[in-house]
Amino acid sequence: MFPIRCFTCGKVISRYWEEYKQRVKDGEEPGKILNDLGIERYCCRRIFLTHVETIDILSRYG
Amino acid sequence: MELKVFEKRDDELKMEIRGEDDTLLNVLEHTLLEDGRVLNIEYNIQFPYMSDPMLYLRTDGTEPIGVLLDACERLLEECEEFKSKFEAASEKTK
Amino acid sequence: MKIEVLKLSDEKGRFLLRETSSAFVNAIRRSAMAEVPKMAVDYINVYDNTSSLYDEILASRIGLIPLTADLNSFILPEECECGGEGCPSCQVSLTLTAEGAKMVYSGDLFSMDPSIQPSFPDIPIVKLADGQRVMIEAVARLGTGKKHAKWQPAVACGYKNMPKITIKDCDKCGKCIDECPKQLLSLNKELKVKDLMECSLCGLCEKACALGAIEVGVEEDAFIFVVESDGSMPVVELMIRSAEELGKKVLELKEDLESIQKDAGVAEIGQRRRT
Repeated sequence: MFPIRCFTCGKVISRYWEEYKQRVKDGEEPGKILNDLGIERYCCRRIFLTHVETIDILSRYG
Repeated sequence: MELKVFEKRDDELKMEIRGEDDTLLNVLEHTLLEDGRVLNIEYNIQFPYMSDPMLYLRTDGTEPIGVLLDACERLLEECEEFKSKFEAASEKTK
Repeated sequence: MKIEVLKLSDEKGRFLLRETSSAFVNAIRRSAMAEVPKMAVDYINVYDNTSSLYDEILASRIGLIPLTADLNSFILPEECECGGEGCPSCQVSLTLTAEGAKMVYSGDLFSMDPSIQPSFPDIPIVKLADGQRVMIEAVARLGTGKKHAKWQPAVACGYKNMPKITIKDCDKCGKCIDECPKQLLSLNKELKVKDLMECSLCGLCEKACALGAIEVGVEEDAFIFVVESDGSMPVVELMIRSAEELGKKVLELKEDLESIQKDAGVAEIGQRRRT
């Protein structure tokens, strides 16, 4: 699951994740989406850029 | 907060301020430095999170607790000033 | 002290403070981050959890959700009459019951006290696959950022000195303009600074100038203060509370000093030998 808050600054970022994911899928450029969402600090941005969602894989073995 | 006095003379005071940290001590030190009666003021936190700050104050002969009380008074005023000015400034932008 | 609001919304604030000291501004900053109390989930009872996340991870995630509350109606558990055991004046419970397949959001938390609600209803907690279930009772308590980051109402709170750029005897070579990473300088008959407050004081323009015509300095008694709130309270309330918390500390010190002054000499003699 995507972290609720940025590890470094503590901003609540997880509520932007689903929109981000959808827009990346639709072919938008990640950097531009983040600017648009108001994620301006690089501590928060790196969490979006590097996150790998594994919940769907894990839930198969529940 | 709990104060433990280790040394007290007519112009000197050494005490531990238990349960406080740099938040209070740094401004307190700065406020005391502005006081002409203070010859030396310093505090030390030996190990953050584990030890309590030790405050050492030397004055020109004035009762040190009185000097500290004056500093508290000025700090309180500054906090009140910040509060009221901030309220006024933010009110204006609404 | 002079305060000017540069930018203000519920989530973000940018202020210009003049005629004050860095010590005071820093105390306000520290107080906003570590001393202002707020509500956060501190304890959970897990009745059922067949999701793919461990109970501990769920606890951590629920704890980090900011909660809006009427802070005046609650007290810190340490200061409560119940002695921290838990009573209506120091804690509130929220329940979470969900069955998959669905995404569980912070809005699914059902609060026993309508004045306490998650600040944002759209924070994902866990994704449940078909048949997975969670049933949790979460207990929210008041706390301070000193103890855990979930009780920290201020996010990215900081300040810098007001920049001061002096230009004299400039030969308009324009080298400094390319050097500035924020592109704040412009040359149009005269060398000018576009937005002084944006200057990060890196000093690259100073180094680029062969004549030493440009000088980057700071105003020692003016500060640009930036705060962001995590959503649990508006920025204005946060700043006022942080000044109040600082005031409370000073007042407590004052009262303790007065009581020492009263019975001075009694305790002092015995303790002098210890040092």
